[in-house]
Formats: sequence, C-alpha cells, structure tokens
Amino acid sequence: MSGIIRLAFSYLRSQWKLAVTLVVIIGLAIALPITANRVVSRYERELTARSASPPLLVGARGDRFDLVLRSQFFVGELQQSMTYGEFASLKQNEELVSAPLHLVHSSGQGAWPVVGTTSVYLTAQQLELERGAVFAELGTCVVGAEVAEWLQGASTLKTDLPGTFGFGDMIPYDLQVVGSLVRSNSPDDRAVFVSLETAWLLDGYGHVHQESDVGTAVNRNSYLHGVPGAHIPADSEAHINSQNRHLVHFHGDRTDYRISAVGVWPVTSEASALLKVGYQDNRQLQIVVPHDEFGKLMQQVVKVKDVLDLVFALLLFIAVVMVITTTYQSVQLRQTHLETMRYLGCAVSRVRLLLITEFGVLAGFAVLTSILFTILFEAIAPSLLSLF
Amino acid sequence: MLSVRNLKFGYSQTSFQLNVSLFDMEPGQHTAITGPSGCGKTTFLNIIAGVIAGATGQITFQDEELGQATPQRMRKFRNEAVGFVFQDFRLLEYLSIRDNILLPRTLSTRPVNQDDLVRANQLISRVGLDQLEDRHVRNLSRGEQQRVAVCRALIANPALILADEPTANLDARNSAAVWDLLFDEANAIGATILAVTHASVGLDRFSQVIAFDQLRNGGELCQE
Repeated sequence: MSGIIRLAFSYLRSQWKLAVTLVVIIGLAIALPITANRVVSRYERELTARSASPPLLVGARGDRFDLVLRSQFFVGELQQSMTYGEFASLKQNEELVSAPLHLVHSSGQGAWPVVGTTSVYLTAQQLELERGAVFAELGTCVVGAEVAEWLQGASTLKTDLPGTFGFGDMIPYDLQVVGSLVRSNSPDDRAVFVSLETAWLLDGYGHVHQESDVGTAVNRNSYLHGVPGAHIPADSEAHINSQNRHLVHFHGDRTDYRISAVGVWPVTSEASALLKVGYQDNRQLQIVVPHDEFGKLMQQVVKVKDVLDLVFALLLFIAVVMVITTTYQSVQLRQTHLETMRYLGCAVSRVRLLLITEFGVLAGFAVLTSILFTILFEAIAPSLLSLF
Repeated sequence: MLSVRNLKFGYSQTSFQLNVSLFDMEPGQHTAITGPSGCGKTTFLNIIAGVIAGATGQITFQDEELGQATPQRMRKFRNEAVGFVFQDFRLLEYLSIRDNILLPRTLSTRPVNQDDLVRANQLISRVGLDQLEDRHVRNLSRGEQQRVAVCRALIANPALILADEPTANLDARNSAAVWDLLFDEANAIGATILAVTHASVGLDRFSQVIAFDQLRNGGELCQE
C-alpha cells in the first residue's frame, strides 16, 4: 500500500499546478456555503440577542430601522431626535424602566461611539464595572472593554470634532476615564458612556463660564439645537476638572435639550401594551420593537443568502464537472502508463487502487483547504457582516 | 522452456492472420525475430505474455500451459517470470530512476523488500547512474532512459526477457550499450531473451534468428 501511496504522491507532485487548482476550487466550493451558513446563523444570533434588550425603543418619527440600528448597535446615522422633556414624562411611569440614549458624538475618529445616558442603562443591560466608578460627574466617562484595551491605561479620551471641518462647533473635550466595564461581547464593549449632562456639554448647550464668554460665535449660534440663548463661547475650556467643574453652566430650558432615543424595559406586559397604544397616534414620536425590526432585516438577509446558496450550488456543480473532466482526461493521457502497468503484471484492482488513492489524496487536501478557507473567511467575515 | 504449437491469431478488423505451427526456445537460448512491419512480431510477443487474448493453439512455458492459465496467473507470470523492454522505453517520467526500476515490485501485491532494493542498486551501478538514482527519468538522455528500462525488466530476475525493438530509437553507440547490458545481465541470471528487431547489426549475439517474413502474406512459421 505504501508503494501505491508513493506512486500517487509522485504523480500528483508532477501535476502540482492542476492538483492545486482542483484542491482550491473544491476547497472553495465546500468552504463558501459553510461559511455563509455559519456567518448568517451568527448574525441572526447576534441580532436576536441584542434586540431583546431593550425590548422597546421610543424615538422621533422617521426611519424605524435607523432608530433601532443606532440605538441598539450604535451604528448608522440617526437624523431625528426627541427632547429630554419627552423622556422626563416617560420616566414618570413607574411600570417602565427607561434610559435616555444620546447618540451624536464619538471618539477615536468614529471608532468609539459616545453614549449619553444614565446609570439605569448600565443596570438594565446588566453591564458591570471591571474597575473604577460610574460617570457621576461632568466630563467623566466609563468605557467598554474594547475601548479600555485600546486606551492601555490612559486616563483621558478625546472626543471627535462634530463636523468635518469643525468651524463654529464645540472643540473636542478631554473626557476623564473613571471606570471600565466587564466585556459583554456586545456593542457596549466599544462604547464610551457619559452622563446626559456631559453629552449636552459636547453638544454645546453648556460650557465652562469665562469672562470672555462673548464673541462672534454667540451671535451665530445663539439658537443652538432649538435652545434659545445656547451658544458656543469664543474661548472654550476643553478639559473639565475639579477646578472648573463648578463653573460649567447650561443655557436655555433643559426640557428642550435633545436626546436620540429612549430605551424602555416595561415591568409588565400590560405596561408594554399600554405604552405601545399610547404612542399609536403620536405625530412626533414612535415606539418600535427592535426584535420585530431585526426580524424584517433577517428576512432580507435570508433572501440574499438564498441567492448566494444558488451561486454556491453552481460553483459546486462547476467544481464537480471540472473534477470529473480532469480525472477523465488524466486517465486518457495516462493510457500508456496504465498499459505499461498491465504489461508489468499489475492487476486492474491495483490500478484502480492507485487512481482512488490519487483521488483520495486530492480530496483530503481539498477538505483541509476548505477548513483553512472556512477559518480564514470566518476571521474576515465578522468585520464585513457583523454589526459590532 | 518456451514452446509454441499451432498458434493462430487474427484481428477482427483486418485480414491479418498469425500462424505459428512450431516454435521452441531452450533455456538461455537467445532468439531474435526479424521481419518487415506488420508481419506479427510484436503480436507474437504480446500473445506469449498473455497481453493479447483470443489466440488458439498451445503455448507452454517451463512445462506450464499458459493457454489454460487464469488472468491472475498470467499477471503473476508477467510480473515475476517476464521482463519487458519496449521500443519507446515506457518509463513513468514523473518517477525517479530507482522508482521506475522498482515499479514491477511496487505494482505487485507483495511489498518491496530489502532484496529488491539491493538488486535495484546493483542494476543502477551497472548502468553507471549511482549518483543519479533519485533523479527523474525525464532528465536522462534516451540511451540512459532505455538502460533504466532494461534494469526495470531485470529487477525480478525473470526467466524470459521479451524485448520489442529495444534499440530502434537509439544511435549505434547507445544500441550497443543496451544490447551489452541486456545480454550480460540475462546471461548472469540465466534468462532467455526473445527480441524483436529490425536491425541487422548485432544479430550475431543471438543463438537463433527467426524471420517472420513469410507470415505477412498469410504464410505459416514452422521452426526447423
């Protein structure tokens, strides 16, 4: 048997270009559908798991999916916003646990979303502190596990400029990192959590009061984000600390300040039903069930996967045809060799064993290659397909 | 040693008919078959080796009636008792010199043993390719390739060597080297050579020369 294996390897080595081509094609034909299935399953698992909490979202009327995507995964752009006053009235309902979500700012050139919220969000999402404390004071933040890794112990985190060029915007703030969260394998790992007040500070509703708190910017921005009197000072202090924290002041009425959405965890199913009914005819606000929205998304994903499955089936068919054709041609081209083996007293069964061994070696390498491809694709695919 | 009686064979598509009423070879007796193309020389070798079936008559080798042998027995006969040398060498170009020489052993049902390896080394040394034994045969000259093919025919120390125009594709110097190798080794192991050849040069090496000329026109061969 070892002689036959030796002969098989010698032949395949002599035809290595063809052998490698076949191995790669078969490997791809196996790996692609496996990867697609696994990635889609994982995608579905991620979406389903995340869409369960919070079970309800309240936000301004507009694109429902944008609202869910931004509020649950901190990705995409949410153009519309609601006011803090609307959240305040929602908060009064004792049968609801609600947390505001202010999702406008970012850090690390967009890599880390800055989430303005309250400690209720951390509790409701069962996020635990790895070290430090929560964002109790202005200008402080708690970071997710990924951000903490990236920071490598740094104590401050600079926010991004809100606009492309930053003219007339608030200058980036240095947020003081006071705590980090235990890894949750969710979008929270790459978020920077701040208090609503800090988020509003980043908006420009408030700033450190200085004698030179006048200037051209006052006139231009005297009506900031719907709040009369709010403005960006000419000379802003970008670092809030114990020396200047008491100097921070806010303009206008806080109930007019913007927030992006509210995550709601109803205590009872009745409270959930009543809340949904309550927003049915609201012209400014809407309530969405993230699980339902992701269900719709998954239907689209499954449709795309069906098309991919068809492509993969075609690829598999082509691979099978290629293998059969190549094997047939190879046997034809080796007729003289096979005839010589017959002259040398080789049994037909030995010739068959030789061909089967060659095929087996190819198949073995193809399976190995498909495993390698699957690992490779899965290593790449999450960054392409995962939402976090 | 080898005896053929009343052998008749014809291809269904042609009118060719091979008639050999009497043909004998004694052990160690080297026989050359000559004759023009198409007279049945190669067919005769193939029938003796059992590669072509359908012939009538009697072929006896070392007191064994080959016509009655099973296909398995004929394969064993070819693998152990016969050494083939072809006009076009028929080496497996993707194998090394050593692997080509050992091929009949590799293809047999028993594994290659130490004796086979020793014999292969002896033959490689005999043809002066000691340092090149792991080289692929495609990198050898035609003369070297045919010498490797002769070594392959000799690896099992066969009793009968069937050579089908082994020097037809070689120049005079290489032809002489191949014949020298074939005769020296055959004599050393006591093998009998039955060779088909077009060449008139070197016929004096053979114990007997049989012309198949008359078979071409439907004649009959009867060895005197």
